[in-house]
Amino acid sequence: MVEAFAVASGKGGTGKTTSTLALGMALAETHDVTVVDADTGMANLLFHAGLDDVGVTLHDLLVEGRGAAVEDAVYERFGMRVVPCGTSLADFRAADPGRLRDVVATLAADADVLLFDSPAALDSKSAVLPLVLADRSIVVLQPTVPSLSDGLKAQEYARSYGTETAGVLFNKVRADERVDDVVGRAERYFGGETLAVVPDSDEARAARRAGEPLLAHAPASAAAAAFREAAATLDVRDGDEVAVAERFRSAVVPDEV
Amino acid sequence: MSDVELVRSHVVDDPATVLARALDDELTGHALVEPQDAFLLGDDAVVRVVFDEGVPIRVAATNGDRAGPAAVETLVGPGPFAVELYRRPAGVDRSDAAASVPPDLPARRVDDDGLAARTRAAAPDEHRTADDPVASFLDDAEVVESIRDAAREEAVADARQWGLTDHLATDPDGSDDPPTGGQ
Repeated sequence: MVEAFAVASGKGGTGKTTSTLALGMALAETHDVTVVDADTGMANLLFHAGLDDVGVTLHDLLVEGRGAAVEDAVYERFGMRVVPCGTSLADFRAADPGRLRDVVATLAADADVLLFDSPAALDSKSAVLPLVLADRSIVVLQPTVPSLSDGLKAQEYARSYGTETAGVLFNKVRADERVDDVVGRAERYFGGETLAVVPDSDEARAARRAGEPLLAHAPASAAAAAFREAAATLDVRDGDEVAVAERFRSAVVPDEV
Repeated sequence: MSDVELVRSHVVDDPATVLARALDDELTGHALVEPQDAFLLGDDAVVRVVFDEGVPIRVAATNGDRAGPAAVETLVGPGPFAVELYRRPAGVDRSDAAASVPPDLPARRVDDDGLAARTRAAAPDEHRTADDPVASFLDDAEVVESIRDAAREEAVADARQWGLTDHLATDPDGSDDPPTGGQ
């Protein structure tokens, strides 16, 4: 079984990478989870997961001629398999996003859950591929007009490609924000479940500085508890890994980034 | 419904009549509004409008189909409307947050600007969504729909530009058959 989720937001700064790793760690208690930094132009998952000094990243799998095997870019960390992406602009330019298909098809064989940390801006072929190809999306929102409008856009964009919303996650919610009213109203428009309302937290910032996922750095924090609630609420479906792999392998190859 | 008292049951041509009466009576309770065409068609499109001291704060179809601004649209259709008005002595029922509406939205949608202004003036601060840009944004179904329309158009345009049309959920050229190759 495998289900591929694109963790999307439509807007930067919502805590998408923190959310991806937190959901991944929480889901890893019951599933085989692989997290992929699919934001190949603005990669930052490696900093959140303490992987900024590793030798091989997703970029090495996407640049022709590097000779790296998929397994070389997979790191067992925090109970998950993590595929970080490098931050070199030259590598990003040299990367062939079409190669992502085979990488993901290979990863799908060993996972129950694939989580793609997806680019915020839908401004290039490589940026939209995770949303196009995932089974479903998880939309990370903040209770602000810009975040909600960009989240609506990302959701609808994904739906155009048949990628329904598995759930939404309200993140970095400040105590003074009237989130109950916003959640109720947002449920009119967003698909799936409201997975959780995650409070804004100093622990999440500290975790980022420490290079650890929130659930490893501050497992007793209120934010960590909310992410565990989100993972418990998410209904992971038993997808056919052969079909998922085939879908990625058969995807149209963009000509350029 | 032992916690409510029937105040009035009648048929009106214009749902503004119901809204005005609830406002004038400072009714705390709800109205059940059934369009005649729903009755004739055997539809069960009864809409429940919850009032807090005469101010509408929640609107939802009783069959669960629609809530919030979408449910208000039922009041816009052709009348007459069968209306039952109930008082709730125990106080207002705020349980259904998804059915929240700006207090003046029902009056605005039935095209009674005077009633809309009176409703705004009577609305307690907690329901004055104009001060809350996030709630106001989410209450504006037209703005939301325009964002979604634009995203769909962008997805189709991008698909054509980047060779991803096989992955679109619907054929951009109008066929109902989903293309193969996408998910």
